[in-house]
Amino acid sequence: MATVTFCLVILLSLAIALYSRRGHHHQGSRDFFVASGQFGGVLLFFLAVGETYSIGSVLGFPAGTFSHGTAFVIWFLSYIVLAYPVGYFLNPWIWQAGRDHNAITMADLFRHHFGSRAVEVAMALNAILFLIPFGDLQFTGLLAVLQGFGWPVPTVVITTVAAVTAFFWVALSGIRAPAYVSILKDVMMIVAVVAAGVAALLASGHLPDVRQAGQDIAQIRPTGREEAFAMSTVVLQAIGFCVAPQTIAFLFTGRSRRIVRRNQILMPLYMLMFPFLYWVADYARRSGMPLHAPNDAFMAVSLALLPGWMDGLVAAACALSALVVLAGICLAIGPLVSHNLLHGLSDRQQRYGAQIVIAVYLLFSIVSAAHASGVMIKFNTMYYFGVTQVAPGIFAILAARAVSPAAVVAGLVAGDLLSVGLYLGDIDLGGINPGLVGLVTNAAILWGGSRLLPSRALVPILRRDEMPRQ
Amino acid sequence: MVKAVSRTIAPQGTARRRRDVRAPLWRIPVGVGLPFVAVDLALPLLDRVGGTVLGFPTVVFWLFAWFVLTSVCLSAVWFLHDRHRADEAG
Repeated sequence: MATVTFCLVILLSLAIALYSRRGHHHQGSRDFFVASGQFGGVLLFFLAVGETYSIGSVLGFPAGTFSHGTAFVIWFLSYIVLAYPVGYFLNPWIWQAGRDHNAITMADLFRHHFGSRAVEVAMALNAILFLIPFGDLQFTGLLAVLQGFGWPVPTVVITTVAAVTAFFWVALSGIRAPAYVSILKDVMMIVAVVAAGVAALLASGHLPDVRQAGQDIAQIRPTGREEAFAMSTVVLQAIGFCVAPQTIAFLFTGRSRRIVRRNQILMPLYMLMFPFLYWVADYARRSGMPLHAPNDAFMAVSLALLPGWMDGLVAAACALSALVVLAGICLAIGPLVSHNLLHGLSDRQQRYGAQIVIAVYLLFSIVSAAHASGVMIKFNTMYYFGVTQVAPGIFAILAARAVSPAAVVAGLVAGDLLSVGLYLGDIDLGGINPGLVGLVTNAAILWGGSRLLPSRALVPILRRDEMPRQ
Repeated sequence: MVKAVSRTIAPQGTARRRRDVRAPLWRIPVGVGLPFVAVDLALPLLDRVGGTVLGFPTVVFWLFAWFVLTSVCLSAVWFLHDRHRADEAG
């Protein structure tokens, strides 16, 4: 029964992807990548939250809570909830910059503002490099979910089917497909999380009190170093969340500043699913259920406490979470190559070029999920170190600051190298997140670069709020 | 709110107009400042508060509460000012 439910949901997602193509059979590259900036509030909301809460959230949050208690809960939830107020102010400005420059990708903003091909290429390469592990992680999460079913299917078949599905969505209608499928995915995911959480809460009432036995999550308290790490990580990631290449690309799909800003108000409420995931982790820990790995906590609790048909629904929700995020990442990487790195392609070539890049990326992710997942997990830890390094440049664009292109590239490279070097060298600065150290260094270099050139006679986007009504 | 401002700025000079329609400063402390202080800066303090609220450790419950309170802060900025801005139309 669970298998039937699972297959029905996946088929429904394909039907929705087909529906999203309606009226857009002849897409140009702008429509393919950013829906020609036509998305209203509902689609933009679901695209944004759909791409935020990946399979990593559904499996990773209970796993992290199960293993590391409140220390994990604090940093994981704090940065997401603070990213929304940052985005409330920052995102409309970024959207405006995109409109002013007719941008498809984050790298377009840099090319237009700094007038430098080198800056554009550096920003595109930085984004691609740090996005690479995402595909692998989605496949790894997908396998963790589907292996719970005990299907006698080789893992490479599962990852290939998933990759073909994601490619099919993207090839059908570009960004419209993950946006429309996100609606189904988010409804399903909320149903699955609430069902598993409520079942865990009810079942917890029958468990003996294990607080004295060290089984209680509340007993795992953060150390002073962990607090410093959490506080600095929250700052880094709340900023990084808003300037990540895929986030910026999704902003460009919005129809107006008003829609972009208004959506940020509701997004924190979407996080109310996390108490349910906390109950799942709490039950898994207190019940002492056997787990192969902490990542299995969510599925193990669901399989143990929910009826069979619900298991299929939960697995389908998790699978859709992986596929929607995978499709979104593909659509962020594709134009960074075909539009920014390979200059001079026609509109049609950019679109087909991106599809080739996406196919190669999916293939690479399948191989790495099978053979190099450990490396990718380490790489993923550094994701925010890299994507956040574009923030000083973005602020320079919004403030209409003239900065030497050499300083922009130097700041980016220094920020990346310092963050990654501190992390890989295991150099501890009192728990301060290495990415934040890199970011401050990067900003200092950029600021120094801006002192060398006079300001432009432009009205900064940051000051547009203050302009009188026309 | 904006209608009132527009009436007052109509006959006046550019410098004055700019000052009058400047986005009010309270937006930032209310929209970002409050959540940041409550969620990030208060963490060391909250970590030392023991006990549970509705079954959650106090610090975890506090974070959950700020999912709603962050929305309230942003709503305040939106409804009291940003909703009325002409450049947000569309």
